[in-house]
Amino acid sequence: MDATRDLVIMTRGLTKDYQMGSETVHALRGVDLEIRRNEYIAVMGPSGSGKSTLMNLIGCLDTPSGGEYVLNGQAVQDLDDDELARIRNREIGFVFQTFNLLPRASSLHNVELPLIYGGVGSAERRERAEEALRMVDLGDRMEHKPNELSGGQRQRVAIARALVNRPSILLADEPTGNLDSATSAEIMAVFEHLHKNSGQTIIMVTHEYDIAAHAERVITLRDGQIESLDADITVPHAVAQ
Amino acid sequence: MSWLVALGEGIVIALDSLRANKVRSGLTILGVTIGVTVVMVMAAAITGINDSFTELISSRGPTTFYVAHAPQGGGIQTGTEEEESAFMKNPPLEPRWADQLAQLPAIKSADAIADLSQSGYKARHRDRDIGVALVAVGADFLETDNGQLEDGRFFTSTEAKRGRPVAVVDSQVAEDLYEGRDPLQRQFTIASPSGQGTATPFQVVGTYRRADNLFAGFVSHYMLIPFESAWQYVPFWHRLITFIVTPKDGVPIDVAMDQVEGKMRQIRRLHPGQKDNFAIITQDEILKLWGQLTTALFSVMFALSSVGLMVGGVGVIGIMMISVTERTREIGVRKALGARRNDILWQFLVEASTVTLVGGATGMAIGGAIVWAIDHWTPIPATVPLWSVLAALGVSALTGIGFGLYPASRGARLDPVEALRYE
Ligand SMILES: Nc1ncnc2c1ncn2[C@@H]1O[C@H](COP(=O)(O)OP(=O)(O)O)[C@@H](O)[C@H]1O
Ligand SMILES: [Mg+2]
Repeated sequence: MDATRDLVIMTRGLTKDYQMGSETVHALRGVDLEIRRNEYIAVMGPSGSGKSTLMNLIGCLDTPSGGEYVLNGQAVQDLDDDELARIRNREIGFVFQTFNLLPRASSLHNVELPLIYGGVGSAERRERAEEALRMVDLGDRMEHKPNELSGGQRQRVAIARALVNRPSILLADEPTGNLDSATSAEIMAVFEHLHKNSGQTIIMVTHEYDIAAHAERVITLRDGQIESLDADITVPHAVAQ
Repeated sequence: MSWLVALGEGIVIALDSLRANKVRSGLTILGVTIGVTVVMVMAAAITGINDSFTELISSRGPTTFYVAHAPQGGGIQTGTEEEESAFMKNPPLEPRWADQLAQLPAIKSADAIADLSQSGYKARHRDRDIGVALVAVGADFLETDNGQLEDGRFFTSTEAKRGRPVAVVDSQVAEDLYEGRDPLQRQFTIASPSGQGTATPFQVVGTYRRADNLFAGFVSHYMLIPFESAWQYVPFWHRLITFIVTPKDGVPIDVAMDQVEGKMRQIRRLHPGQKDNFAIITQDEILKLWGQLTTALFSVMFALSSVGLMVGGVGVIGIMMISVTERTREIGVRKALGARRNDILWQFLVEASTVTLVGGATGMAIGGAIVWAIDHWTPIPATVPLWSVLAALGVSALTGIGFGLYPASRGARLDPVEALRYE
């Protein structure tokens, strides 16, 4: 009873097929997953194993070809585009490998976007966006455009944007993939802080063991299926650089 | 809420991409500009001309009507074939019939007039020869005209009846003929288009200024003489004779027209079965004719501006397709952050209408300048009516929305995952 109430994400037999001309690519072949509130999870697996596909389904950016997906108690596999947009806006915060900030907009405006689509009034919007930026230590970069920021700063703007609407889940698909190791550590510190202080569920795709080591639990995928729901990654070669 | 932000964003982005894609946006803006300029100028001109026309008509009194030897259509291009042939076949009116019409119980006055202003008459004084717009009228002409006597006097009814060779001229005649000296009591002769001069000299008894009116404005060197004196001294084409008939106060216009028609048939000796070989023209009919003409003008305006707006519209499609493609990834991001289809649609429609509104504003500025120039340098009293400003704005925004709809909905329907993967 207690365990199910705490479930943020539950999938049953989740599949995703892509049609490539006459060929069908089975990107996910029946994924059963349960993730509880405030878990900090790393998803690992070889390239092409379906990590991004899974993240897109969890983030309601895409709909599954088959199976069930229950997010915060609501079955979402059959919702229409606008309902999914609403869920993305309220429940999900995305952090991308390539940051995906709007190039012409200031940090502040980038962070305000989810609030705009959430219908938040301008005064409150500004206040919350500023607060989110201060939380990632960018209080003094509010009016900067992305090209005036370093990679780490850009990713922090993206994190502020992902958090500003207080979503229940933070999804990060290789958030440090474009960053050097010092900056990666900086970003991981932000995730660490969030996990400890704001109660969000964090799911992060990575193929770096030292990054995955920050998570509480590591899920591994192979060929579109779960390989392990709690993998042991304390292998010696990963710790050595 | 989000639509309002998108409005601001869309405008900024649109202005940005206008700057970035100069040729393409230039063409789009040009198209819309042409369309809107045409709308503005034509609307202003038509309104101006219309106002003048209505004013001119109403100054004559609403019940005044005209008798001519044939429908006026014959003189204007819109006449039917039947009217055209009637114009040549029907015998001209004879001036003395006007007196007979004036005797009718319903009629207050009936005067013969002849508008010879387009006929190429000249006034001659010593070695000077100037073209004049000659109009032969009755003594009470000023009662139904908005012009003003400036100096001297108008000709009296006795002079009119007797056909005394007197004239009232405008200041240009006075200046060109007498080199700026006081024209009163000076003499001149009238020469027909063929160059033949009248033997009898005419004398200037007054100067006169035509009302500021489009139809006055086209004519300079205006000269009024008694109809009877034209009849006696000036050879002219008698088919230009028209009667201007005013019913008695309180008499309905159709009663007056019936009486005039009966009398004219009697004068012309028409049998009961025969058709009128003359025409009675009310101001309503003139207005109707004018209405047809403005309709034609409006069609031209519509066609011209449509072409411009089509060019602009095609440009909008191009610009917006490129904008949507260039910002595919941005669309993906916005969708990931919770933008719905309509949010994206609206964003691009705002962008598209901003582009066309820039064109529209340019068109209004150019159109406004042209209207100003027309108003100042031509006799057409052009003013920009409010509706044309609104129409211009509406039309340019609609062009943006209409032609932007396809690219915008393409953007709105993009799959977020694919949009995010777009390089
Ligand atoms: N839009 C797509 N169309 C066709 N095939 C796709 C598409 N997206 C992913 N795939 C395929 O699905 C499989 C899983 O992809 P992905 O989830 O991106 O893997 P990962 O993120 O683990 O590298 C791959 O074989 C990939 O080629
Ligand atoms: Mg991937």
